[in-house]
Amino acid sequence: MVDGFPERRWRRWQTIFRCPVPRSRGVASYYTMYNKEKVGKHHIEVCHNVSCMVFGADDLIHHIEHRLGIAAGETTADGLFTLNRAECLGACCNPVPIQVGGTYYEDIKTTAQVDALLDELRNKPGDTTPQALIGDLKAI
Amino acid sequence: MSEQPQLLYKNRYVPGIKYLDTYVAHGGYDSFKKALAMEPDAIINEVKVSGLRGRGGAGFPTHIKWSAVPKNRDVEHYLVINADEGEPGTAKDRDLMNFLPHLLVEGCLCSMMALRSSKCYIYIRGEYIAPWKAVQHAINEAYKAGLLRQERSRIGAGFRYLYTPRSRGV
Repeated sequence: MVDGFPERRWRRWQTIFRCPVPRSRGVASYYTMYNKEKVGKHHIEVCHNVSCMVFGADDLIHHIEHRLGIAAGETTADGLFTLNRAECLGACCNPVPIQVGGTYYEDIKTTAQVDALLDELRNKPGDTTPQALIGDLKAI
Repeated sequence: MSEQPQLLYKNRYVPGIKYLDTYVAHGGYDSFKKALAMEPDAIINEVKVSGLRGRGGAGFPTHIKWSAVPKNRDVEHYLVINADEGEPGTAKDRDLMNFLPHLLVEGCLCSMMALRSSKCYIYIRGEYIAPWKAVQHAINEAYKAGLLRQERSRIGAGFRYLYTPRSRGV
């Protein structure tokens, strides 16, 4: 859901499910992996749960905020990056994990590593959505 | 690192262990074949003797969990695997799914034999795209090899992308 949920989609669900818009909004807002608003080409999520906090996740998040000029939860004006704080990403073995779209970058501990990651993403031609990663593997 | 016997991750560094032929060459699915020839109660007893325990914090003995499932029943029981790892500090199943997905599938099959269940759902969190791909590939391979018979045991990996409960800031 890179495009987020446009207004007409909410209204369509209202017709299909016979459920008022605020109620479906309430359901959708419970799930963090639904992007309610349009996200940038690279959706950066930094884990800030216990093990990552100990390893300085908050400093990394502040560094990214400073570098991109946005607060967590916002998208840059050029539509390239969206930054979010994530609850546990399930990679406590290699803190701090940063998830971009569906790709994990682990063991990120210094701001220099974050800078290198941001530079790499900036020069990446394609987007990094989970849909692009899943490919054609299906259950038989 | 201390020298401790490797049981679960014994074949972790074997190249290509995530594929069926390599896994079978290293003794994979032998336990399942053994379980196929046994009665469910005998399987539970075998697990009891082995001392197998859960890998969560409590280390709950597996045979007690399995014995708690009612034996005489007329409704179907399902085996549901939680591969969410939502609790911080316990990243343990990700490597299992990434590197030894067939071990997980074999474990599912053995539990299903013991629980007399014929359907299994594996619930994987939405962020785990690589582990999901590995597990789904393993399941597809096992289907093709005829280890999972469509009419008797159906295993499907539920990919959590569409419904992903937030960990609620635990």
